[in-house]
Amino acid sequence: MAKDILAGIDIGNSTTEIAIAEVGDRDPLFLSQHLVPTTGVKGTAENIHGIVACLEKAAEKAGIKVSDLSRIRLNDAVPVIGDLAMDLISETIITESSMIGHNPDTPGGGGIGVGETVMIDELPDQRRDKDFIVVVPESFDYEWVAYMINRCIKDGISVKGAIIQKDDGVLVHNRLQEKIPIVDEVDFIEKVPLHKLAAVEVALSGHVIRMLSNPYGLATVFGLSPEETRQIAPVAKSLVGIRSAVVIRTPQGEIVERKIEAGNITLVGDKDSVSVPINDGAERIMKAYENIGDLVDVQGEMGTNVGGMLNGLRQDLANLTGQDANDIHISDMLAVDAGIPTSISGAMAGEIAMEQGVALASMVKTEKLSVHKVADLLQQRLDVEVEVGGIEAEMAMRGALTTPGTEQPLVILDMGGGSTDAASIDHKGQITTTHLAGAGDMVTLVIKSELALEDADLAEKIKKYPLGKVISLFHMQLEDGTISFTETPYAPETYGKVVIREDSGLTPLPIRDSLEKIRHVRREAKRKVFVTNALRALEKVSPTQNLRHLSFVVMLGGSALDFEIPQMITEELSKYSIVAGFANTRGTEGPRNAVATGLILSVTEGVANGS
Amino acid sequence: MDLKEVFVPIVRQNVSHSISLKELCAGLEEEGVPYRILAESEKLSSSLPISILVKGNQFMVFHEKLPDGQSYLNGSEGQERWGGKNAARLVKGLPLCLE
Repeated sequence: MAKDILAGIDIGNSTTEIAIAEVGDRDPLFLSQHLVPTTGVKGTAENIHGIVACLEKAAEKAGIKVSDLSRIRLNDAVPVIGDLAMDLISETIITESSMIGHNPDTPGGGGIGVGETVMIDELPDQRRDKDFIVVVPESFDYEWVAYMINRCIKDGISVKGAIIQKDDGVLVHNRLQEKIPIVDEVDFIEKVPLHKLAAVEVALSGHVIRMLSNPYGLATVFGLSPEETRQIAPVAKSLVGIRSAVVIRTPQGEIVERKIEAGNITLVGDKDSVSVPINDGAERIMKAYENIGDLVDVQGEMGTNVGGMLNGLRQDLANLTGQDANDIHISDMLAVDAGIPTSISGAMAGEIAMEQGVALASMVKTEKLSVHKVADLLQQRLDVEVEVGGIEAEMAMRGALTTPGTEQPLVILDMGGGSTDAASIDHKGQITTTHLAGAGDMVTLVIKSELALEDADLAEKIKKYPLGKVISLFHMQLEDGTISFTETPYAPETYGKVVIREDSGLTPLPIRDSLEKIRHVRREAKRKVFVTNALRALEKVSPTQNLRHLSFVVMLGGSALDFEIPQMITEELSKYSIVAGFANTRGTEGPRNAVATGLILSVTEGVANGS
Repeated sequence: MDLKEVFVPIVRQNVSHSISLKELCAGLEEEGVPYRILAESEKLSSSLPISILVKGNQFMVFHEKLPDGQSYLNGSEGQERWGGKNAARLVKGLPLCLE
């Protein structure tokens, strides 16, 4: 029999993978494999661009031309598409006050001062029977400021604190005869209201403020009634844990209270339908989900935060699939609690507060996904026979079973960027599949939000690589506490910073959180998405709905390449006596290329069966 | 025995009038790191590894563990506060402010 050269192509949500093999009367001989990012939404004509680029590269690696291929096999991609949304479920709203709360590295002095805000150059004209807080914009030099405050205090004007725009707190403080607390590096000093009662508090280094972060402390300082104390309580909350702060009372202030209800989320199942207030958090929502049978749709209460979020999600999915928004039915959903950085209304130094939020990943079934259309276009483009070969889960299963040490019955857990898919095969070869919302992209979203990063690429890197902290020109502390040494000094951009240790070099992080905090956020995001989804997926594909009846679980997909996700799942599943690990397709490819490999193997097994 | 003192030496070498030593010193003072301005000929040893050389209208921040003559940070007029601040932050082991 003549030898054929086949290509198996797996178009996934985020990557397109190819395997090329020579197929004769014996076992297929795999020549090469390659992968590229998927171009466009999978199952659409835009995919061709990525496929062709990937094929050319794979052919080159195999030492052949694309025209040498006798046949190309495409996977019948899973007709589901996922999307992500995120919104606040609570928000700090500050009325009747303005505030500054931040951690400049070097504030001046210590303690608390209360007085009326006044511009530094108007200080000499003030009355002698009142206390003042001076406001210093950046145009004033620190020596002049210190001279002015000293002179005015000598003249009998009572100065109790200072708010400075530049990083001059210590410089002014060092030159004062009578020491006062000074908050510096206040970027938007022009927003500080003048001639209003203000309190300035600075804690000693290594301590946090105590008076202004206590609602009763604020009540004491400003002489508030119980009702007013209730109103100002959010200010105290947003000042917890910081080193310096200013609170300014602006009765009947410009900041108007705004309240949008967080709202209820309704899960419609085939057995039951349950409404959960989104305020109850992700755990309650997912608990409710367990009791409604198969999900038919998810709805959000109109005119609320969650209603807006679900509408946006539906619209996104409608755009992606080309279906009408009313025809979008969410077939799976994963809710994860996540801190969302929110600028505080009434804040004056660009402060953000971490508010409680929820991230939702959802999945819809779509009819428009047409791999056959892609196959036709590809055939025209390349003039090579292209066929759609078999169900994705079946192909993945065949590929996964080339992992040394595996046998039927087996469960595969395909952890990609957009979805977590699982399939089980029993003794008789019966396959059960499920597609769950939430995977690598959701982890990136949660990391980005919880660390208040502006750049999604940076969040993606934090997800993928371990961290380090440069502690001297030549030393770096690693995540496990050990210290690594370098002969070439670390660059000034990385000095003293937490860095991402990519293979190609170090990327310094533009945030001040500690290495431990960032590592914790990263690992929790992965755990909340992948461990939760692994358990959900296995329950759905387990013939008995009991995890203890499964024995082998093989992880596939891009997220199975992660340096810690597979270990987290191995650890969690070992509690159920399940052997779980990432695949090693054909004993060489790791968790990659399973579907592409399966596409080729399914042909040769067909040959062996005499067809 | 030589008694070592704790300060960042700022060594002057033909300092141009356009560069502000005052601002350089302010950067160090704001961070709470002691410094001393020295003439080129003065030989005072400090126990801190960081030193600053101001030459013409340039300044250079050195670290004793780097090869001779290789500076870690450089700047010129207009950047004096930045230079003093970052020299101090190098002493303290804090991340630098490079913007």
